[in-house]
Amino acid sequence: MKAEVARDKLLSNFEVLQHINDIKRRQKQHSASRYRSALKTENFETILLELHTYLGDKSHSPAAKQSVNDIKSFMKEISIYDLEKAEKLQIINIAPTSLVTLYCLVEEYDQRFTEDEGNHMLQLVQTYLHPAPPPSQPET
Amino acid sequence: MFILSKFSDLIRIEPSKFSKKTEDALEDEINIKYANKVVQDVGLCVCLYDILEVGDGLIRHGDGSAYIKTVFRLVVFRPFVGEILVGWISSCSEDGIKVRMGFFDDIFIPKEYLFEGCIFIPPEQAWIWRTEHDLYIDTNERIRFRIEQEIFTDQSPQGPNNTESADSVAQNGTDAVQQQQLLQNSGPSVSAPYSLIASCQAPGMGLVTWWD
Repeated sequence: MKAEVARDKLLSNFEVLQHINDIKRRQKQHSASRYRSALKTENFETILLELHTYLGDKSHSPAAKQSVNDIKSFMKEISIYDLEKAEKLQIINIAPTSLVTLYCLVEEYDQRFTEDEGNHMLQLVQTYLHPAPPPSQPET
Repeated sequence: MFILSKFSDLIRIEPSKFSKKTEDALEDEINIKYANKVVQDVGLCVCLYDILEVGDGLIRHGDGSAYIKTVFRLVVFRPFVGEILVGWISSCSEDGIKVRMGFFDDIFIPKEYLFEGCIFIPPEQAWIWRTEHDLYIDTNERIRFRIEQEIFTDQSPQGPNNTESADSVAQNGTDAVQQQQLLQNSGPSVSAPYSLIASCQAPGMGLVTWWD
């Protein structure tokens, strides 16, 4: 075993979720014809299930509701701002709904962008990235 | 949060699996070998993404299996330092907060990396951030945090010579050792092969319900 390139490409949560869904679809088609030893694939099934629970939960994970077109249009519109690749990736993964969350995703925000620009970015997020609805405040 | 990593490996296909298509057989073997495993300095492997190159199947003396040199890419969980993630609080202790993400649970926020003015309340086993209002940081809440440090612990068996291994640990820098001790004190994740140290200090971090 040799790790040729440890970090080849970055993946968004959406791409990972899509890949998992693809695997599940193929598994369903093949389940009858392909021999699988339950014991040997236990690790594989475990992580698929756990990851699907994390990424596929519609009430928490924006990735569950995004589509390829959503992300394409978002990337087109957001390109007017000079954001780093990693920053755009995090915005897509987290889909911030408030300025303060956006500030922690974008480094040195106050020196690079204005508040109006931030509001516009949030609007784009709202339009394309399907952020999770604001959770109801639990009363104590 | 996720990356693609390129690997090359010699994959063994048993004769009983020759009825499968080569790609399918390789995919199954790679997933059996790598899924849900940590590779040192790479991260937590999730599953196969795609196969790039498939070599010729070679047969060894005394073994009917085919050995195929394969180049492939894996989906790997490896957040970068500085990345913001969301998880659930699994437990609070005097030393800090343990966070789980379901598929990966070895995340720890030491108390030094919490907001200023946070105190631990032993009877409630919770942290409180004292601002105008007392903000509770309680188990099972959704929390947003920033990755500060990643720790890989080599789990290959150690030799019996204890003095030598102690020396090598001392050389690895005291910082990592201290963090390790912090992790050890905080519960069962002593021997986690890959763990993350996170922080919760800036506006926007902390419980998701505070800011949205």
